[in-house]
Amino acid sequence: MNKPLILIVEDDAPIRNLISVTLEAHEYRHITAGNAGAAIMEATSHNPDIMLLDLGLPDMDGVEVIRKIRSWSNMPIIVISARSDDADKIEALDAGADDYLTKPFSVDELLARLRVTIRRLNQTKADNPDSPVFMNGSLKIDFASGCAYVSGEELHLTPIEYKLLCVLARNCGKVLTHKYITQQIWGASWENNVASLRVFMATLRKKLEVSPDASMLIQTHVGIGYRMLRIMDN
Amino acid sequence: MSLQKTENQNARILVCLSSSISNVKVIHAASKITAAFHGTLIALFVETPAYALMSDEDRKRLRSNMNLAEKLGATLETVTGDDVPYQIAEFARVSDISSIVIGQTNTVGGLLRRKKSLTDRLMTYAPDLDYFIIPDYGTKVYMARKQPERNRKRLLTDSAIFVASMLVSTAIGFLFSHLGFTDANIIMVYLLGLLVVSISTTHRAYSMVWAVISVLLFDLLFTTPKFTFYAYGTGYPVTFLIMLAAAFTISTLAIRLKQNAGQSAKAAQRMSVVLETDRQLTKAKSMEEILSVLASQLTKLLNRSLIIYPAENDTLGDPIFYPAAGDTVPYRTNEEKQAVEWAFAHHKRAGATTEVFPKTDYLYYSMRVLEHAYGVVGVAVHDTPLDASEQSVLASVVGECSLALENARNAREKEETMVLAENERLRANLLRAVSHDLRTPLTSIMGNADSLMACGGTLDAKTRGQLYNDIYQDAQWLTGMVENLLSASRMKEGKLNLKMTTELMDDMISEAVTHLSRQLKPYTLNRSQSDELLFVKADARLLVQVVINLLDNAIKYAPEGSTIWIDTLARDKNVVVRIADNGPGIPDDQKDHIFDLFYSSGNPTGDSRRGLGIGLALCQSIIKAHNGTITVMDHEPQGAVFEFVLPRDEVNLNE
Repeated sequence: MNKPLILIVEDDAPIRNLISVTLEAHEYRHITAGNAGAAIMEATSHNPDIMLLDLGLPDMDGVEVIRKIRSWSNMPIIVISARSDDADKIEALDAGADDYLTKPFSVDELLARLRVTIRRLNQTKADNPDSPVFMNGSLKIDFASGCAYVSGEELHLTPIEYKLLCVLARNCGKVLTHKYITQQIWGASWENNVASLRVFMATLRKKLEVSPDASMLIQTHVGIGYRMLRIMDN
Repeated sequence: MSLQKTENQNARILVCLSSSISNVKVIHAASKITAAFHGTLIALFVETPAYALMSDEDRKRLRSNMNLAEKLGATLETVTGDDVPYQIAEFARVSDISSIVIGQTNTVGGLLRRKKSLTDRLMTYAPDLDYFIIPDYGTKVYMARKQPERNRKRLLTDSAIFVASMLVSTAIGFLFSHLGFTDANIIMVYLLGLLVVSISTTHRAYSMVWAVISVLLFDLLFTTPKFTFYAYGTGYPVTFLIMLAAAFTISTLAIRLKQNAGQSAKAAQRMSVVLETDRQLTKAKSMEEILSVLASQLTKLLNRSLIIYPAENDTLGDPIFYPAAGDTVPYRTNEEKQAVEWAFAHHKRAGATTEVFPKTDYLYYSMRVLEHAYGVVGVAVHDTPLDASEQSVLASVVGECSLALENARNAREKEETMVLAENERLRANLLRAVSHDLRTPLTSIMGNADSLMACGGTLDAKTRGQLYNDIYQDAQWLTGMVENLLSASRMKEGKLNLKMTTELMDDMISEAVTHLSRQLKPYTLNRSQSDELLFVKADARLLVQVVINLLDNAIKYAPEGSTIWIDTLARDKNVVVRIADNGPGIPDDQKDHIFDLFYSSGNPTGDSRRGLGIGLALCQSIIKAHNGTITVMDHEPQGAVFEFVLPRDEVNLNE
């Protein structure tokens, strides 16, 4: 896939314009929508590859739009939020959004998020979902044997660390909220176990540090969660 | 009886309570009179020494009379004293009473009591008052009566004392008689024994019996012929009579003396509790302190379990229980709760021994001043009702505490008003600073954009680049300012608004560094981290803002090419973060003010964009809200170091 189609959903014309101009300058194909109704229509009729969605829409809550889209499509959704409160981003991520941008954002930031998402799209298409092995840069996880390797060296992980690595790997490229990760590891009753999560994340990272590219694999989003980045295969 | 309408506009009418059945009639009459005069009714009970000897039946009647008076809107008061009319008259004088309603009763019986009726004597003591005398035929005023089976143990000890002193006196008598002393000495010994018995036993019957027996014994054992009730001496019958009369007199006097002593000791103790309460209340400032004074004083006074429901904004809070020794935490039944709520809502007593929810175990008093209710105090009754004077002292202690609570509330309101005024002042300053300082970058952005739109084509590439860059820089500055203002407004909403979670200090520093990556490019960044995982309990957003502001400060003041150090380390039970630069540093005279709001070093009136002076002030208030400290020091050999210290948080792992 060389030219992904991007749907811009933003009610504020100058910002919509800014994004369009930026995308055009970087040769992305795009379509626009000014409200939630139009956004859902455009999404169904054009089946875009990526959606940039402003959360503050006049006719419907952005989170509601995500739920509607998620009922039939897995297209990556990057939410744009003007609210500095983390709660709405977390809500959007838990509803199925993949990534977020906070206004004001720089053009560089926008392009960087798009690149990350496109890389993930390409990789997901190349990956065989039933593959027993996950590869990302120097990291390799063999799900069948329950072992993880960095640059061919086996990592000595505790069961929780391994579980954590797997959760991140299976959702590679997506920002995962603390709530999502703790639920995956400890179950619903341990939703507030974020402190433990941080400890295991810190020890896991330390073990990944054996290779410089692996140490950059996991991104921290303070107040929100974590993400495993997809490293471009050369 | 004279009625002067003009004087009775604000009539304060006193009704005297007693345990007699007819008192009900008197109370009803008093209530009607009060209603007719639109006055205030005060019900007074005079606690005499005889009260201690009152039968349970009488006590019950007295209590029901008190409840009746209260129900009819009377304020209950109790005074202690021996002389009933004098006490009533004194109370009337002190309390500014205009009329007294009293039942016409027989005099309280007793050997040495006056013959004049109570009403007559009252009128002599207080001749200026109006009297309403309610006739009272065929009913009996309470008199000291025997308490059947009241205290078996007491009976045993009293009898033992009685027999022992009888034996000792007789033995001494025999000794004196053997030594050949005169009869007068032996009589004295018996009278001495009588004094001992009168003082150490509880009932006067012992003294009376002693008086008779001692005369008989004296006659039997010491007058010739011995061991007969016949005496040869002609004067002996007179001796016996005088001896008997002296014995009765002594016993009566001794008993009254004892009762008075006991009563005044009790009254003194109660008075001292009230005074002590006053003294402690002047020291207590907060609601918690006042309630704890209330609890400790009432426990001292009553030795009963207490339960206090503090009220905040007219809603009752959770109860605090103060158990007396050996008492258990009460089971709060629905009825108890209803009684508490009733007392709270109606500003009256409720619960045990009253007519409202009488089945409860506790008696509830409402703490109130005028229409402001401050809570409810419950006193454990456990089937032994409070006596009249206990109730009266209880009411006055509760009243004192309510007043103290009112004062505390007033003081708090005043303080809040002052804080509000201070906030208002800060807000005004902030608005002024914002409107001035935000205009500058906005002017630059508008101007630069305008030039580019109007004559972008004619400008050379370098100039255009400069204008673009200026627009970007100003917008970036505005973004930072908006972040700070948002954080400041969150801080102002108070601590409760902070989302405290356990955070890894290094994660937050990384976030801040990423945020400023563009501005940090011309600097050398030097990070050192502790090997340990350093966690703090923090609102992540705000703490990231602190690090951003400190880094921003370093970027602003240190010239490009300088080095910025960020160190995190553990010290004692704290996490220390140090942000240092090797720029020009901060002069000593500015160090004291650097965290002040709106303080900005350099030209304060000029338009140089050094910041609003809210960045560091915000850092300080955020760090303070996290129970930490922030300081500024010199960096060797040059530059500034900002260091903040936060309590380290431990993490319990769930594996």
